[in-house]
Amino acid sequence: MMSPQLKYTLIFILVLLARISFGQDCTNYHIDNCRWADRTFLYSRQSKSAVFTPGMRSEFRIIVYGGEEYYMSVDGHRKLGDIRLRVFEDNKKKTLLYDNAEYDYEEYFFFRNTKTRDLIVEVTTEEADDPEEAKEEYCLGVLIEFKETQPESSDDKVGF
Amino acid sequence: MISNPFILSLIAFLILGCKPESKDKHQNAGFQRIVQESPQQQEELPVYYRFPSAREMLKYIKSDALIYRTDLINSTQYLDQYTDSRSQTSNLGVYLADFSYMILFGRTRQARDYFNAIVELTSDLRISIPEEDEITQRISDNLHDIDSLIKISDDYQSYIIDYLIKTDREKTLALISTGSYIEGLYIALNMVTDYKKNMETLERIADQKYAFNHLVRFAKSFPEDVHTKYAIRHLQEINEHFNQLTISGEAIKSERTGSNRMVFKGGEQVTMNKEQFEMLRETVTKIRRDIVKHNH
Repeated sequence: MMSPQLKYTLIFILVLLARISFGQDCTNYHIDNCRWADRTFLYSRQSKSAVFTPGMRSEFRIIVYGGEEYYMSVDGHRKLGDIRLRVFEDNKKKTLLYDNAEYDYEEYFFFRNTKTRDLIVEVTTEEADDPEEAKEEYCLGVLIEFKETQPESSDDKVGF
Repeated sequence: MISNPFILSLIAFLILGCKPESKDKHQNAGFQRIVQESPQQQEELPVYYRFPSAREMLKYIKSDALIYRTDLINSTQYLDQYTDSRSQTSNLGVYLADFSYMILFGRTRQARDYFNAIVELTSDLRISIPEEDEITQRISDNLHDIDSLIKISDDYQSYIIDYLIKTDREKTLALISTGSYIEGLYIALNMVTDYKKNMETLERIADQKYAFNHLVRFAKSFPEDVHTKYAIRHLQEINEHFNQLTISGEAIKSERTGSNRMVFKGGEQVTMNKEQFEMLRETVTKIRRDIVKHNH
């Protein structure tokens, strides 16, 4: 038979755990949930996860090196709906380089990159129908991987 | 002893509820830590800057023309002389870059010593890595397997970064990254023995302009921290050199090349002449000397 003191201590611990679990820890969401490329790619520490709400737009900036191939995949809780991923050159014009809405909201893509550049990675989640649902917070992550491109595959090389 | 479950529960809620919460529920949401509501507000948003690790930087710069130099790394014999938190933090970054450098060039003889130095500084800085014993064992088991060592080194650095982010110590991460970047750049610049024969390497070093720019912007997120101010001062001194480099541009375009495949073409090309290279090397060497200085 459990002593009253032990019982109360257990209740105390359970309450503590319940309270702690209210906070979302999304730090490694991209590692555990995003689709990975094959083993020839290396993990980039520029990958990032964050807490998102439905109908939210947020961005972060990364560097991609010239002559390397990159892989980017996005994943979020199903309540966030289709996730729009756009990549811009970080210049005055904010040149759009990629928009997954043009490709049926594909969740990953590879890109070869000919010159080192600053990129803006912008993520937008779907609006919720119910205003109450729009306040709910969920994890979302962007996984980035890279590998060196073989020189012969450079698309800047044309002709002989 | 308090034995009433109601009082115990109340205490638990009070303790955990005392964390300062933002006025806006969504202040901590999104990469930029703020919800986007209007175009006007969008203009004022803080931006979350990411940057490649020193290992990614060194891997990008590495070429067959470069020869490994043992005299470029910071000796572990000075470890005990880093006793204040600033020198411990920045030199943790230095040793992480040195560790990456020796692994990338296949020089693993000293890797164990450097990993031990990293573990010691990590412990001094109260960065708790639960997987530490397992990783130490993996290092011992794979001392001659370069690919495994790269993976282990990456894993360990990820644990450090995760711990610092989870414990709201990103300003410490800014100083560690500054130490790593300056050490990485110092190594890269000093491996170049002949300006004309290493043009490709120099272009790749010049490309670090972007990464240093992101790192200084990341560090500026913590303007009140005295150690971060030290890091920003050094990074800005280096950025002054990068900002003087010549930039030529081509039209930017992207193309779909297949299913889930794109290519990004054109953009800026940064070039560095011999004089700029020598001035950058001089400045970086001076700053690096300040970071690794010891009492000998």
